[in-house]
Amino acid sequence: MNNSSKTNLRQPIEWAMETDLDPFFMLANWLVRDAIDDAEDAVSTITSSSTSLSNFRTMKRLFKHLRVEGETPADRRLGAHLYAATIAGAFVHHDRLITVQSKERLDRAFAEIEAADDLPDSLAELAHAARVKLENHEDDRN
Amino acid sequence: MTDSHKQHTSDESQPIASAQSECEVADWKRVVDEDNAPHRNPSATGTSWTLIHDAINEESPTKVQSRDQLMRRYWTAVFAFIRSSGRTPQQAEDLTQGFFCDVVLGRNLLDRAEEQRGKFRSLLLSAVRNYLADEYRMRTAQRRAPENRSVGRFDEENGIEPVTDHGDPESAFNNHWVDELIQRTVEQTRSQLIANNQTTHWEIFRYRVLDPCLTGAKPIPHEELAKRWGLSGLAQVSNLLVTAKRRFAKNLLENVRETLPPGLSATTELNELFQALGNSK
Repeated sequence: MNNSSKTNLRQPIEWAMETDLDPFFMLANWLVRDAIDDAEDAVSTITSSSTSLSNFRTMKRLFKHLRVEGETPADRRLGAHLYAATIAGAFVHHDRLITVQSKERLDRAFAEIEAADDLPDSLAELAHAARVKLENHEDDRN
Repeated sequence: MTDSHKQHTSDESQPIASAQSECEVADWKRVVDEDNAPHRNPSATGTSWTLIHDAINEESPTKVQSRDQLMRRYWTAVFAFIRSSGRTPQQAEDLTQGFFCDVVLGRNLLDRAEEQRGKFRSLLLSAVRNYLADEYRMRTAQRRAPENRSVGRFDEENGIEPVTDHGDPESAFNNHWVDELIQRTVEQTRSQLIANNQTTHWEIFRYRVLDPCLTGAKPIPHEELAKRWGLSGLAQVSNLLVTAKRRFAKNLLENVRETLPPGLSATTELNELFQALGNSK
């Protein structure tokens, strides 16, 4: 028994609580918290206008990896949605398309987020805003 | 009270748990100190309820191993409760051994656990609390018996130290309960990941999250871990880490669930444990 560690024993208990309460999003939250200092959770970081462009790029890399290498199909599907949502967030809040994907493919990905019933409303709203903005956006990436 | 308990507690000249051979219990303190690895016998990976069921089954060829395993798991929590109630280390050790001999085996606590199917933590906690109350009553009753002798103070005459920096007994019990639970889950997760060819997942989880959490070690940066394990960078390191962390959290959740009766949510118990840790000194 390591008595000096008693305060820190609460952290593993918190992980188990998160797993019990939200097994779906817990993985994304942990990813974001591990990679970005002071991040609370994935959705609030993706939808926040105060998230820096650099952090959007970091999240894009995290979720791109999850989309391809996720342990389960549900992980990969979540990764795909959050990968697109991160691109939407950077686009809406920083007016930058941080991807080489075509406008058509982006619109399709954003539409999928809007239609997904297992994602929070705030992500659907972000995806909708990104679609509206994309419609009037002049692509200058080339 | 059982005869065996009377015998132990009514003779002040003998250690309280002197009748080790009677209940065929090994030296549990030594066992716990020397072997924290839970994979020595076939019952090692069983749930508490599985172990209880096996331990009380006289026909079971593994009942002794199951009893061993149960006591390995819960010795430190029981000891911490008794020690924090003001007993000296030696008294606490004797009483802990007596508790396991007299109550867990002698008084068929395991039978009661099987019948009640309540929270195992609560059952054990209330049993050790009652055991100490019984033990105290026996001691004081014996002291009152001779005439023309004043009854001395509980703490002084019994060599009992006042509670100082051990925290209250229940907090001490809960703290050690959680510690055992987490250490067991660490070992379980490590074994699973390695068996699943996910040694890198385990090492990253360990160096970046687990050791900092449990020992206060400094987390190793993503870049260094990526270099050490030949990974592509932050994204891969983080993804491997959360995969291992999820496995650990699920194992911990299951280990908590298996101590609960049907219908009680794990979150309720986890909340209680979380609060209990916050209340410890």
